[in-house]
Amino acid sequence: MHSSEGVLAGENLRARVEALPAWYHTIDLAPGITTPGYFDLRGVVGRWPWPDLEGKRCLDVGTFDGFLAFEMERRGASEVVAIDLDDYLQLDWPADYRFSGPDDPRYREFLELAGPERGAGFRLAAEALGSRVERKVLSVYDLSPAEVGRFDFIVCGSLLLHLRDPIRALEAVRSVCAGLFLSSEPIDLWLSILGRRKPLARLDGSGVMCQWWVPNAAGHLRMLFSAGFAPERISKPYVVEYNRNPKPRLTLRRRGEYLIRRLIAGSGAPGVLHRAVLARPRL
Amino acid sequence: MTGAGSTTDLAAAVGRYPWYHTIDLGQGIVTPGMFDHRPVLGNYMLPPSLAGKRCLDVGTMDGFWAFEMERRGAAEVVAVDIEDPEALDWPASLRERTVKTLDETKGERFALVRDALGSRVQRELRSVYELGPDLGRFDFVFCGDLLVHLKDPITAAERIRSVCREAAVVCTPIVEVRFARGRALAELDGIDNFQWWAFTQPALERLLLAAGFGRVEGGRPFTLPATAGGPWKGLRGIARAMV
Repeated sequence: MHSSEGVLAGENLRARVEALPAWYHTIDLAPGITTPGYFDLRGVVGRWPWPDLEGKRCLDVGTFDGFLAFEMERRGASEVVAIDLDDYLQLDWPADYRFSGPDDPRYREFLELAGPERGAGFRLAAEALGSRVERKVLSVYDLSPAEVGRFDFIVCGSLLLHLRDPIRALEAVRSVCAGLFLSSEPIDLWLSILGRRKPLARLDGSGVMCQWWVPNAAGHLRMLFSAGFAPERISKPYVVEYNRNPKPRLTLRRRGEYLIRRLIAGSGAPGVLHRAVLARPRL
Repeated sequence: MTGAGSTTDLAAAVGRYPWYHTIDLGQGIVTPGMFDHRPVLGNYMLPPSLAGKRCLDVGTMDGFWAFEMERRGAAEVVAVDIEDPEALDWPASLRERTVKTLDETKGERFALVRDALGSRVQRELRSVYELGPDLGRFDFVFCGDLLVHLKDPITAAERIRSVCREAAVVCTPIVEVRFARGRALAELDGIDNFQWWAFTQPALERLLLAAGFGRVEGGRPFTLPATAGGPWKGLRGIARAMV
């Protein structure tokens, strides 16, 4: 009886996972049930320079489906708060992809792809995992001790590139950081190799991917430092692999890039090159 | 109001301040600025005539560009700046220890030049981040050497776009990245100098498109001759953006 109930619950969960139009994170929810996320952090998160989180109050900034929030809970955090925006219209859209409002036909089209309810994936995953993470609707720019208190540990993954003002965001993170901050962000491969000592960022500011600044490795460090963080430990580069993301066409240039990534980051699979920095407020 | 007396007074008044812009006040008196744009004026993509236009100068400092637009026949010139040096986007490491004299007296310097030139330019206290249609729209907007000092140049460019009716010219110190020519990049400081994102010329153009301008025409980068410009003497990028 127990097992048949389990199977039912499993089938029910599977159906609910499949009913959501899009998942951002790939998360193992139950034996045999994994969310079909665009990105898969499962293979790389173990290579990040995590400190001991046992008994710590933790924050996940820009949580999306919650992969990193659940990871901190798994690592023994006593409390995890996860912030995100519920309203797609409030993201830092570039001018050429800014919806005029909820009635903009392009916005409706977008919602059909992304799903009408931001946070639905997080809530389903939290329920399936029996998580106690508290999800709070708050912009990174609005983090302040008055709003959320202070945290022993903060993680923020793949968010800065989507912000037009990443440094103000990092300063807001610092304002609530009483311990350590782990920042995992995409880095540009060629700019990191050729400009090893030059803090650079590529400016995009166009389109549905909502990307503004993609730094090189030195640029990522500099963003952190200028916002008042000093680095303590830095990971090797790694690739956040695509799961459901459409695989890009294999051009000659991309083949070359994958080959180099295999050498320096241990993965030649389609995905986004990242680096993680563990830092502490210096101001 | 004739002759030697007033000239001496004006010279004495000029002598009381550190100057940002080199401006010819007439009567043989020239402000000793950190930056003298006069020898390279032709590089700045300013329309030869601004007759009948309503113009805006963003981050005016001593007002060189505002007075230049007036000289070119603008019907009205508004110059915006912020008065409180603490309100600038200081990098956290510099906020405490920077000498801010140049920013403390800019209002007085602007007024002095305005009087000396008999100008009608209106100076408004307003950050570039706060530009909005309540100021009215402008046919032509000029923004010189400001973006590099901003933590968030993207919002600034969007605010400029929001008050622009026809065209804007934006000039800023740029860098060249040898191994990535032609790419829209910025070099980030934010520590040692009062400087955040130093764009490449393609990034300056990309920024203006990202801010919602319809068409952008890049100018030829040029060198601003060294006067006393500190780390910001040197290479300038420029672009004209059309609504």
